[in-house]
Amino acid sequence: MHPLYDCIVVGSGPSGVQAAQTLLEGKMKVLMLDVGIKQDRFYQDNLPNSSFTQVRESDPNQHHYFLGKNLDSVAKDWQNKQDRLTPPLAFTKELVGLWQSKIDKNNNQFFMESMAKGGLGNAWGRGAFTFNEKELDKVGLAREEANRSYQKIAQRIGISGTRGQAVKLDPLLPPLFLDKSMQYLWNKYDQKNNYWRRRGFSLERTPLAVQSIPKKGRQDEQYWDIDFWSLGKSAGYHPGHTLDQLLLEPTFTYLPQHYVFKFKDQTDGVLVMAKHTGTLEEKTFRCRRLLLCASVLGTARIIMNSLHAQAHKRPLICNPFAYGIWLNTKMFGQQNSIAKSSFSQLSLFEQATDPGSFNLLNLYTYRSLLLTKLMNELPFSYRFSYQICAILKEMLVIGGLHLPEESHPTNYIRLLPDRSSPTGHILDINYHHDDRRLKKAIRSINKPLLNWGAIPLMTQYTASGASKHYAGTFPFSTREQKFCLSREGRLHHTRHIYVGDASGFRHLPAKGPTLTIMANAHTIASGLLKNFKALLSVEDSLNK
Amino acid sequence: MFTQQEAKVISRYLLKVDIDQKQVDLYAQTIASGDFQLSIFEQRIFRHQIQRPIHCAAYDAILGWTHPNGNIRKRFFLMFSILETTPQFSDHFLGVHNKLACIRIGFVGIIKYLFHLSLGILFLTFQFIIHRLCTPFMTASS
Ligand SMILES: Cc1cc2nc3c(=O)[nH]c(=O)nc-3n(C[C@H](O)[C@H](O)[C@H](O)COP(=O)(O)OP(=O)(O)OC[C@H]3O[C@@H](n4cnc5c(N)ncnc54)[C@H](O)[C@@H]3O)c2cc1C
Repeated sequence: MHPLYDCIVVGSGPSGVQAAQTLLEGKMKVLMLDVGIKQDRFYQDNLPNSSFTQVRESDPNQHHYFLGKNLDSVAKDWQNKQDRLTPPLAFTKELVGLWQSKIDKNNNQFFMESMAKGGLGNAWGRGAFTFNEKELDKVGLAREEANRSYQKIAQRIGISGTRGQAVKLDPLLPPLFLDKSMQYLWNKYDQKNNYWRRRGFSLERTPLAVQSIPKKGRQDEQYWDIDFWSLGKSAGYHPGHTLDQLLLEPTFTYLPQHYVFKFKDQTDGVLVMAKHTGTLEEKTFRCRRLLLCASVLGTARIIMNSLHAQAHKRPLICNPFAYGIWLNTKMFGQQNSIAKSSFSQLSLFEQATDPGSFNLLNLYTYRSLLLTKLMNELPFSYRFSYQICAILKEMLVIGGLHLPEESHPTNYIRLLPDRSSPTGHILDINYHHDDRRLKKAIRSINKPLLNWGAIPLMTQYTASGASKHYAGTFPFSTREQKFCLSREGRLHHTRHIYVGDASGFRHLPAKGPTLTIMANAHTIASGLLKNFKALLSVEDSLNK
Repeated sequence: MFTQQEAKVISRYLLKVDIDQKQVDLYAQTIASGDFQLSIFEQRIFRHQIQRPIHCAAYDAILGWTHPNGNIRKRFFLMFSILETTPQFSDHFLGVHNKLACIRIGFVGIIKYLFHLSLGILFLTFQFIIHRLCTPFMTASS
């Protein structure tokens, strides 16, 4: 049996590392159990330290980074329109099929999980939004606490942007530069911003967890347009940054290759059972409190397996998502800025029917996915498609549209037994979203874009799950209700089991949830710390 | 079957460039390791494209509509990916045209494309008929 830990945190994604950091700041003894099988060394060690154009003009091995060492993204994934992870980030979703198996009856779902160190947080686009008060209420988070936690996380990870609908934080790092194409759109909006606001639209700089100025050993943004390639030299925050710091703490232990499959909640603490992913050996760990940060789907697997709730349906929320390509006519025959970032530059908000709720289109101009991928979307001959792309490439604006989403009774997950899986179960995801809402939103968002000179070229409506924003499996509830979480993140009907990821969120605004997930993990860990202090003072007085 | 030759023909068709042995090898390796298998009908068309490079554009134009996800398209896509990530051809992809050049390229491109598309419709229909007529004999002889 292993020593007693104050807290075991499961998962090393954004929620896990932020919760662990808070616990360690309170001097707790923390064990982090993580599948963490997959880590990238090849790309991090081999990526050239130079700009996109330099790489393209001189590096004979550039296909490794853009298309995969064996041109995998052509040979295997060429028709995959849902998942655009660049080869250096593909490790994020590798191996999940075996350990985190899912049923996809109609082959029309794209729910993504990760077994990598850092989780899906390795690949996130760094869009770091704060939820407004109405959104926080709907999600089920306390406003004041959430705002304090946002501030804390922003200090830790660094957020650049300007205060507005997208982010309400003070201070923020200066926003990243806009490239020429985005500057045109921005100027057009800015000339009549009151007019557009009255019509329910507002255009803002996308808030990003990206260092616009250097800080604590992290490089500032280099505008090399290769930010989507990898983690190593990235100015964008990813959980590995925090994990590296945590590993220096004497009271912190990180155990990768441990798949947690069950817990036992006992009067004096928790037993946590994990399987080693290499040897399949089962191990048991002990702690006073268990904090599950294994992502919404991962946490659901652990809870349902532990509470023998197989086949029990749990709700699932996921933002409807579509992406599209627009042509910025102002860029016709012009060259876009050579130095630019591939992160989202502008966020276009559209007031949704529900007050305080928005649809959100994030706008990008990256080139690092190459023209080839775009040509593949066109039905023409490759030669003609190439000519079109060569003319249009500087005009291309890529937009990702997210809509807010609620829980629906028809959208749920359940855990079913499966002998062939090393975990003994398989996740059955039943999810359907209606593209009509997305189509309506695209039509409406096209009005200002057309006015600013951006012509819609194509829209791709993605499969369910493709937004990669998940929530709602164990919703917050003030009543002691089974399979729900208290405001403090405790799983009702248990004593010591807490959940630190988005499982408790009762609603998903269109804004990326990861900053809120991290803030919530911090709030829950802070609550645990208070809890511990009370516990320790009781133990002290008993000892005396 | 003729990967060396096809690599050269496709790259000539796509960008009008001659490739090195390195790119040919990369193309051949990827074809050998991935799923690029052609059906009998596709083999017939592909043979025509490679043996008569002048027909490449016509077939490519029509296949974009009739077989967008077929393995002939996939082979062209593979070669394009290789060309785009080869430094000596980076100019083809990174260079910027001025407004006039854009209009000229676009206009000429559309005309040529429409011409190739109409030829492609004829060629493909012809190949389809031949394929249909030959299939019973092929199955009988095999
Ligand atoms: C391409 C992409 C772009 C994105 N862009 C944005 C964006 O711009 N803005 C935004 O807000 N969000 C974005 N997201 C979403 C964001 O990545 C997630 O919201 C975030 O990573 C969730 O954090 P998490 O800690 O809950 O889970 P994860 O990051 O998934 O981490 C889960 C961790 O738990 C571990 N784990 C799972 N099961 C077990 C188990 N049984 N035992 C032990 N360990 C386990 C995994 O190994 C992993 O380390 C994006 C996601 C993707 C994929």
